[in-house]
Amino acid sequence: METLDIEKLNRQNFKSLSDALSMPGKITHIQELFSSHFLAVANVLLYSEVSFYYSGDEDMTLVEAITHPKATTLKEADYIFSDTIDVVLIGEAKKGDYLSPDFSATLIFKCEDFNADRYRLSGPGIDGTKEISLPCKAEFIERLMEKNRDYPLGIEVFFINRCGEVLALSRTTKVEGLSWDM
Amino acid sequence: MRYGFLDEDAKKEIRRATLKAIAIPGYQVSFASRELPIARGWGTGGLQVTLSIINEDDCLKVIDQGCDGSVNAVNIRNFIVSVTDNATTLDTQEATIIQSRHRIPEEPLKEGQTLVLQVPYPEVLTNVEADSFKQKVMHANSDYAKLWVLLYEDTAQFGDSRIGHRYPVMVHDRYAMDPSPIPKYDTRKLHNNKALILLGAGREKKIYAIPPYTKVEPLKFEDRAFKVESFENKKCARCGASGVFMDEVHTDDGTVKYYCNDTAYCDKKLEGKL
Amino acid sequence: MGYVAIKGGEEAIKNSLAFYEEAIQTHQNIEASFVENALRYGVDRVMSEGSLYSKKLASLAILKSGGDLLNASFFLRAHRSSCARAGIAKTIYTDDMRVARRISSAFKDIKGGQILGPSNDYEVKLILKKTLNKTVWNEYKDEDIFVESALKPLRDANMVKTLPKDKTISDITRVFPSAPYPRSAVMQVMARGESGSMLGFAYTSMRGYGDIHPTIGDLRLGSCEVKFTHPLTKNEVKIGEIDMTACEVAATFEKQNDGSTKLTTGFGCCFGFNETKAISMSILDTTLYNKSHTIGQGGIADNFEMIVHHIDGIESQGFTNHYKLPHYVTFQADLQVYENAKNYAKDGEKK
Repeated sequence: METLDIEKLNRQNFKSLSDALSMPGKITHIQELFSSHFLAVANVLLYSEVSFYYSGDEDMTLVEAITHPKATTLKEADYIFSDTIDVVLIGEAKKGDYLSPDFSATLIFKCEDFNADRYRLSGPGIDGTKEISLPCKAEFIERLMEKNRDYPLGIEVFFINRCGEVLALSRTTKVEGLSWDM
Repeated sequence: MRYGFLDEDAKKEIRRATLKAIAIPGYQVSFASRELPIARGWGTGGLQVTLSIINEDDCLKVIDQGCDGSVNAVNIRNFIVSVTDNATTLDTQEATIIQSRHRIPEEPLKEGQTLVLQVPYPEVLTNVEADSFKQKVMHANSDYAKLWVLLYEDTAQFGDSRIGHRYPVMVHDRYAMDPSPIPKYDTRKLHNNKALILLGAGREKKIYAIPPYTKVEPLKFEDRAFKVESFENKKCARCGASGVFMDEVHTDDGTVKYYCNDTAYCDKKLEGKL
Repeated sequence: MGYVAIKGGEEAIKNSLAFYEEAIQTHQNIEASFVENALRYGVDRVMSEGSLYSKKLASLAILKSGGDLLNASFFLRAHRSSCARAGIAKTIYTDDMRVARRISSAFKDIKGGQILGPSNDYEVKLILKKTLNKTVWNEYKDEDIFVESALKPLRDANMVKTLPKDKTISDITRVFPSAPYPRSAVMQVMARGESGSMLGFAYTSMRGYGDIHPTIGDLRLGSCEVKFTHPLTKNEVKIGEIDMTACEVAATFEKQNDGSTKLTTGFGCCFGFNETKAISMSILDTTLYNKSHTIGQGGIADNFEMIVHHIDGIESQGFTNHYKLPHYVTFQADLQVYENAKNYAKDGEKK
């Protein structure tokens, strides 16, 4: 029987998350933990010094037992996990202050696939501009751009689809819609 | 010993800081720096970053002053290998993670590579403001007036900034940043680099980053050229290369010779691979 | 000199270590227990600065580093990093200390008495061998001594300024705080600070850069029980005893926000027997948290940035020694800037 080396899994999955964030729009792959890509990501990010918020259908019990994070409110959470792409979460997430913009939330959204609308990305991590599909609608992007308007304040967003593919938008990423009128 | 020496919580702390650093280019993220069996000031920041990001698929290169065989590089490489059993290389192109002190390799880096720089003084403002809270406020306000005054004073007195290495840069038009003690020759390589650049300061407990394709500019007056070290009319006495950063070597017979500082580059050139 | 060797670094560092071991004669195999007993103050200092209580490992570290105590503390600190945390012990109250030595210079006599205990304070420092005869006192009782702090009566009489308690206790090994620093973090930094650095900073306030006028209210050395809540039974269990030094100084008085006038005090505490460090820490605690100048300012020991970032021996010695690493790239860069500046000056003269 193959034993599960969780730390090894974390190393590899961290690499996927860090690649995705350092090159926004780049698609990387997550390996499953407890038959879930979503839990695998939670297991990389959570530990005893961070807090999280999750209200969804995945069973976090084991990941919580392994990582000992603090469960907290939406407004306080360092990591916000969601089963659906919920625009309300953007409004509630903390975005840091000018002294410590890093005391801000990272949002992790589950989605079916990345094929909702077409967008053009630019900013650090992107060679000029990049056109890609994102799993979210215009309203979501508008709210995200509004949230990240006062750089360096802002939030990071990760999307994980059903096949375990990940892509990220950093707070520095400028997103413009292609399939809707600006 | 466990893979990567550090316990999982320590790695997660460093990874958290690394992700935030990537999200806010040039901003110094505080982290709970752990003590290592390598002395503070000898690369423990870079080492903690490397140990937290490395996985079984990585191929590691470690350099100190441009040299893979320098005693500190050897020591750090041996330590990392002893706790990971990872493959190592001297070849800049082959490496996925390059940990370096004071240099960025001559050969251009590629997408997917990570350059980890060891940082003694992460705070670019430290020479103009010693109080760490005031430094934080200045960064919050993007208030770099004191750096400009320093630059002005130097220029008035000496015709240029007195800063030879660790030349301050502006990252993504927002944060002034200390790029670690690299020569000005390497400062230009920070701009729009294809690799992810992570900077770790163990003693000062800070991690910061420059993502690939990020705007990085030296802090300078518009009407002044950014002068980098030049080795005009000098050729490497070993491989014949020119236009690279050179070591000046004083020989026993009193002559001065020049060699490529990047020894892996020199080797490759000598083998005709460049 | 030929070309800087590309290879050879490996052999060089191996040989260097072999020479070092020859020089400190590791082959003599001195027992760690000998160091533990005969050099106990060195061992105690290493445990305190290494931030790990183990007399055995501290003794080994002293042997490994040829008696260089800074280096030995570094060995201990590095080892500490690899130890998993089992949990957090209960707070130790130094009033519950089994006292080996306790003195107060604030009062001629105090409840529980002045207990001189083991000390070489009154030894005339001549390197001569002499035999000492212990006088046996008739009323001497060989039993455990527990005494309250000599400053307790003043505290009970509400004469002593108290600082607000931190809402949450910092843990500098997990999250190093930014300014403004919580007091619990500052005390932790000092508890594992380097004795000599702390002495130096404390001395500045005594000699010329401050006027807090410390008086040792209660200096005690002894052993304290370490208690822990058993993770399974949830009962409080004693897991061992540690030697400690604690010092309370009384300083000057200060007007409080409510208009009252209170005596200011400071507290110092560390692993093992290390009176100089505990006294220095209590003085630094006083200078940091109280007005250290009646008029004027410009102290050194009252500056949090100065103390919090400059007393850790592992960090300061590591960084100081890093200058031994090659710096020829940076030096070359500096030389070129110097050349440019020189030429600029020359051009200026011509004009």
